[in-house]
Amino acid sequence: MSGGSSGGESDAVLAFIREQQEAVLQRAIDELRSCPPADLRGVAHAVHGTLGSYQLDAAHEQIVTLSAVLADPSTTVEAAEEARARTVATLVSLQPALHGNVAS
Amino acid sequence: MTETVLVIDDAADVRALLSVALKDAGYRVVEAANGPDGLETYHAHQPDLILLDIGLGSMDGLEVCRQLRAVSSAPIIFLTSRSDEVDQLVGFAAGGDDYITKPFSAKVVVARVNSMLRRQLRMAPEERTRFEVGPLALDLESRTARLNGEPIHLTRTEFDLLTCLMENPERVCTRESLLTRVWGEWYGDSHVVEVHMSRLRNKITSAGGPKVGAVVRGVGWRLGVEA
Repeated sequence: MSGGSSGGESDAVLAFIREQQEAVLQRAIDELRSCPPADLRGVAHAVHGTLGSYQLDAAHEQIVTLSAVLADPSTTVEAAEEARARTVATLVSLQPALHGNVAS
Repeated sequence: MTETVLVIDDAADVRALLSVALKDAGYRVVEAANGPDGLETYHAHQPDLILLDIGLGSMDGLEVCRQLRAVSSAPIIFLTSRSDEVDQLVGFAAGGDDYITKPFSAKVVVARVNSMLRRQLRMAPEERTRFEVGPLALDLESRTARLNGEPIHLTRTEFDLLTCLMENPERVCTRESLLTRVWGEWYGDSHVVEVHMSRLRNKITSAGGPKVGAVVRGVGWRLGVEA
């Protein structure tokens, strides 16, 4: 997975982002996976900002999609849980590309 | 002297990224993970600027801002991740000077911080330190605004906007000139001028004052108050 564009960040910031991306994504997965249904929307909201700021663009897009589902008043509890499972699975599939990621 | 930035955000990863970026830009950084700790850290370190997440826990960012404003004129930049929070900021005179939406570019955050901290230098008066137009009076040295002799509480941004308008009441201030003068290098939505002008106008009219910031269509704004 591409970690996202550098966005013109300084070398120090870019190195930090690259070093942290894998751990940041893992924490997001853990939080999404373990939170109670009632907290899912809030957790999605929180990780949305973090993943995007760490240039985890593909993961960020998944959270945007999940948030849209959760914000829809017609979404049932079951549908929300299905969306959660899909999102977590996709985020997990993005992990290998980040393994051993370091600043170039 | 190294300027200090206080980062108040409950997301540790966000604090860490901001801390690295700000330190890389030469700032000293202190952090807090919630509102009460943020207030305590403010009093302990007296930072020059505060980056404040709105979505904190039991004490939200707006309440933290209100409490900070009671004791400090340091610029406050809100961090927000939802459009409804932006709406809340626009409609709520919490006292923040600017806002940045998440996800953010660390480079843009640093640029906004640089810009905000340089504003005071740009806003420094060359000669005049007092302006009076009609019922409005500004004292740039004490940074106080008065309406019919009574103090009105303006945010730093509102005060700077009013200063631009009152320096020469007949002059039309363009959007670009206000952005440069009040915000410096601006990377965000240029409609920020309308937002803050509207808040300034509402604050003064709510206090019984005149409607300031008359729109000159296609050009900009002038004070719009008779001397």
